[in-house]
Amino acid sequence: MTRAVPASLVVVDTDVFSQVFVSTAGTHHRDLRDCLVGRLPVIATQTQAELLSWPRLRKWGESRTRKLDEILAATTVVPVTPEVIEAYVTLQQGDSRPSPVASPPPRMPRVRPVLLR
Amino acid sequence: MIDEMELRLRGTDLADGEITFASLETLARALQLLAIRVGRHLTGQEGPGRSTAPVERATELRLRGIAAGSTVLTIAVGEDDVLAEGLEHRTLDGLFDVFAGIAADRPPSWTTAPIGEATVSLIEALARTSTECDLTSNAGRHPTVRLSPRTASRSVWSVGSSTPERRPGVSVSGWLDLVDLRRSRFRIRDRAGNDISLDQVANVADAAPLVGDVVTATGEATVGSRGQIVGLTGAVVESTPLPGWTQTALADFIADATPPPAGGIVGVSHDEVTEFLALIRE
Repeated sequence: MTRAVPASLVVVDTDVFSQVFVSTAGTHHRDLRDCLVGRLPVIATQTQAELLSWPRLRKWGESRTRKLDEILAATTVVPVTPEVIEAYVTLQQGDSRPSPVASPPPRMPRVRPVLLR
Repeated sequence: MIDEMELRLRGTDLADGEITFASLETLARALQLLAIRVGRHLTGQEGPGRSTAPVERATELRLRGIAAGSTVLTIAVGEDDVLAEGLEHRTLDGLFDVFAGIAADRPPSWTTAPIGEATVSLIEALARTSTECDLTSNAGRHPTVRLSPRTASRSVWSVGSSTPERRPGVSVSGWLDLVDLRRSRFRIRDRAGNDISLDQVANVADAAPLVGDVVTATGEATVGSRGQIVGLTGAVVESTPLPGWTQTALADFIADATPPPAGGIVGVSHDEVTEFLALIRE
């Protein structure tokens, strides 16, 4: 069933998610937190995968890893569907202006907070 | 671990380890006022009104001891893990930013009018007490700040306080809290831990049963000094429609009626994030 996407939903990339929701270095990220006031953040599958690799890459202990798992479990992930892939292709090809999509394939877009409408 | 900061006062004209009651009172008032204003700023609670209990708990300063070696005040900052957000740690970070700003005559970019005003009071209090001060912490993430309060600029802390900007038709989403039903006041806490006040909610009867749920409120926004939304007036509160592809996570939050923890993972510093991001970009 398709329902309207709330205007307050926002896709955040790995950079933003790790700085705002995983790091404790609060005041340095005030500008990012301000961008997320009243927003419901969601992440792409690629971001989920990157974040899940963090404990292994940085040799985290069990406690910190569990905390990250909890944070991710409480985060909605945008599924990879034909519509999402199509939207990605459109974003890649359809606009010559500077795009919020910073990285080329195969990596999924790293975006600053962007509204999903 | 409770954060502690150590304020070393030099040139007090008193014996080592001494401070007059009058100076201590003035200094304590000024430092506490600054701490609570930093805490309110960090949680988007600028403007009039009483601070929320978590902010008061996270920013409460307690004198733990006075020692010799000039005059050293050991001060504990807030309670540990207030709402598991680390607000007390962020408040200490903010206080260090302000002290560094005093030392350099350059306020942090996030300085607001109330924080600027409280900082001037603190400079005056320090200047009445000592000629030079050092601020250190036990948190291990702050370099020592040394400043000379008698020569520190007051004027750079005068930040204009204009009438807040208002913006109609703004929607915000998050977990709904009840503040005062008789006055139609609610609050939304978003995923990042920001609080957005909802004054004069237009549909109180519809909103009340939604307390604890993820909701969307639409009304006239009050914009804070950094351009962030701090509150809505006359908002209509509705249950948030979730898109069809939403998996269980968001639905589970609604069932749990509690926002997920904000504030990050203790020990994951800015440097840790930088290292991780560098690795995945290789």
